Amino acid sequence: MMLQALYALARDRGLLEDTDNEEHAVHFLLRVDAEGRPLALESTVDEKGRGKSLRIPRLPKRASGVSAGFLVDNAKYVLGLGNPEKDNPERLKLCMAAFQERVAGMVQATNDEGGRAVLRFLEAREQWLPVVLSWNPREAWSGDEYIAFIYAPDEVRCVHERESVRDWWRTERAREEQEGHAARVRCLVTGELAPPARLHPSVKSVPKGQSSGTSLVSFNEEAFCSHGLEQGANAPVSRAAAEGYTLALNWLLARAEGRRYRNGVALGTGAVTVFWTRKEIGFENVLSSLFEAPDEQRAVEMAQAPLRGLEPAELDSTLFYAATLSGNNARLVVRDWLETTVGAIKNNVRRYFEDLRLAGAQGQPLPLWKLLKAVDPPGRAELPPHLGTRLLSAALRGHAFPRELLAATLQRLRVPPRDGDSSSLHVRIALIKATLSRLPRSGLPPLELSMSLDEKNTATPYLLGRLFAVLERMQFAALGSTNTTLRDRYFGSAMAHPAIVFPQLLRLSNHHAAKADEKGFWLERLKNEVCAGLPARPFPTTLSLEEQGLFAVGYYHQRHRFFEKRVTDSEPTAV
Amino acid sequence: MKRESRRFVVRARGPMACFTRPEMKAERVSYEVMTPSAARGLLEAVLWKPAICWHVHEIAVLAPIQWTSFRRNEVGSRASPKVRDFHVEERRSQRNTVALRDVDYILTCSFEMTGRAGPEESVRKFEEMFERRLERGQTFHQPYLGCREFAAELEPAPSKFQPFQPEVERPLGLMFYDFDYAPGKGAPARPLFFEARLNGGILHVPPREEVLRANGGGP
Repeated sequence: MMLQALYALARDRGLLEDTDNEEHAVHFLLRVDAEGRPLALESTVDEKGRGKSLRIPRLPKRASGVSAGFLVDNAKYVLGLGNPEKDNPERLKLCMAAFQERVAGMVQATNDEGGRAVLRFLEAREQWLPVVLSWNPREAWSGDEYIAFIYAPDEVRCVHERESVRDWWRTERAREEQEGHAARVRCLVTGELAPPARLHPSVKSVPKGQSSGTSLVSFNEEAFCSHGLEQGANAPVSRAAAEGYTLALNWLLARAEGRRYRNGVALGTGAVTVFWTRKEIGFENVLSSLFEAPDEQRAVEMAQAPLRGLEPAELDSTLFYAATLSGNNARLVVRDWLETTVGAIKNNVRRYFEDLRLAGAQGQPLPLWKLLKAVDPPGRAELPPHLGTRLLSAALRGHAFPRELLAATLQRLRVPPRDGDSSSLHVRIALIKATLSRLPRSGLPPLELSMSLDEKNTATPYLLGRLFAVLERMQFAALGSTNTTLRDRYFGSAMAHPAIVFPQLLRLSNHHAAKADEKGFWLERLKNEVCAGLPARPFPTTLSLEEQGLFAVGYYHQRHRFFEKRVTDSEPTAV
Repeated sequence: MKRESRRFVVRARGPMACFTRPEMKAERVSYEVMTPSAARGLLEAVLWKPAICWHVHEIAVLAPIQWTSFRRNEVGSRASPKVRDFHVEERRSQRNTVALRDVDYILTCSFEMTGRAGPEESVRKFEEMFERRLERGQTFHQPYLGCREFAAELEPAPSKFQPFQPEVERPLGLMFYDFDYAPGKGAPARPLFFEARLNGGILHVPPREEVLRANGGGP
């Protein structure tokens, strides 16, 4: 269904109007006169080094062979200028010949004067090359610069934009499609009978994919093929449908509106989730911002306004699609695929942000990248590959978060925090809290986790977490800032093996209480209060993963209460 | 002589399944529901002779459609009698799979006698063989759900069953039906597709002639 949905998207958003041409960066415009003399070489490169995007005749799908574009191509094909170390001169000659041949074919058929001028230039290329190099020296060419031609009397219009040239290109493409494919088979996407596309166009800017693009449908090794079928015949898709779905994917993945992807969310560095709706209602935009959130303020606004049911309810039944994509060499990998309704997504996303809500940090919704960054294993730059995919998938489907995520977050919490790392505690606990409150209810005691301190919660791990926060506070009251705090030293082991650590910590706390003056009394009382809630045998030997999570939440709640107290305490004095 | 058997009802389930879409074969993504050809494969594991040919009429979906995704090391090229010294380590290719979890289907099927049936063979004989084999759990090879590594459990279906989400009607898009193994002289086998639809939790499979017609004519 994914290809159908993408093809429908391309059709509905008007991406299919002109499939003979495509948007591509062009770095130079070469102006030639009727005799083929080069008049000027105009650079379109902006300050970031990117060429101007122009509509050019669709480029062929390239692998290692030689296949030239029509009237627009890179410097290797147009001028024979490649990287002197990498490109072999024989191959460059073949490239130039292939490029020239296409232009010659067109001139013969149309006798277009602009085309004739380009052909004359190409025929006498040896003669004109020094002129071109005088405008842009040999060392400045890497071979990857795209060049388009302008016939001097046309002033600004490129040669490939002349009417007769365009008409010829259209008929030529139709002819190419028929060629070599006598068999018409049923297209997988449209259901119509058509010759199958042999190779499918590339999808650009997929993380971990090749920079030249990846293919969603490809059969590059014999193990992928069945029954002696070759290439695209294994999955018959008509050329129009193949171009349509790739256009849609490229459109979704394009950089737009200040975001990295028009309708997508990056999951760490390894994958991206793109989403779209059957009818255009602007929902994808809201959702992208909500997860990606370039700044948190925007996320707050987005979370509050459109998701609170301000949109008409009938839009809720609009179909919603999400695909998680990643690259594997030249292939595009679909890691996850979801098809549901906008209404269901709204509910699930609302619930997701509710589950993540935690007192502190002004209650702002957390962007996805921040969550993923907070569980990055220390010392390694990357997340376990599937964690991001599974987290977002669970969020959109309203399922339980992966247990792996809980493990990764707890693992991360055990590492002593670095300086300036204070906000990630909030993020990590929010993640733990959300994971715990989504646990499948079977077999475990009900976990109703509140946003802030819950004094009625008598679960042992929760109380132990609170106790740990109190003990840490007592240390601070007694000694002030120390190099190594209780948390740096004992948090991990107190969480995993309370029976070993807590008796020792309690002994230590007596010394702290004695040193901490009047604040010590208050903390001592709080300590006794928390301890009173603990059962007769207070310290279990080990805590399970879920219990450790609860410990961490208890710790955070109690700790946050201290800071909250301080704020409210100081208020009356300020007034 | 009777050529078509009565209809059988068979239950197939397993913890994992991947009915790979042909368009996403290189990095596998499964169809949402079992394909007719995968169902045929299950039945052929229980009983197949040159004299019979299986037809699947309905596939009822009993469990919610759940997904899982993982990467594993597959092999990029095929072993064949021509290939000597096939070292898997040198032909590794790591690929992703988006598979189904905890699937449960009920297949309604029948078989037909083919031209290769001998004069002494009757439909009744094969019907009884199939029933007996299914009852005892006998198979020629391990039945599987789409990929060999996802083993299936086959059993006679209970007399009453409830499809998952009987109220939902949902198009599944064009689905792989089966191969047309005899498209003409020298031509490779031709894939056939049909318009799949979940109707009250049941996928109705059209007869082969209809599919051949829709795919541009039959033999």
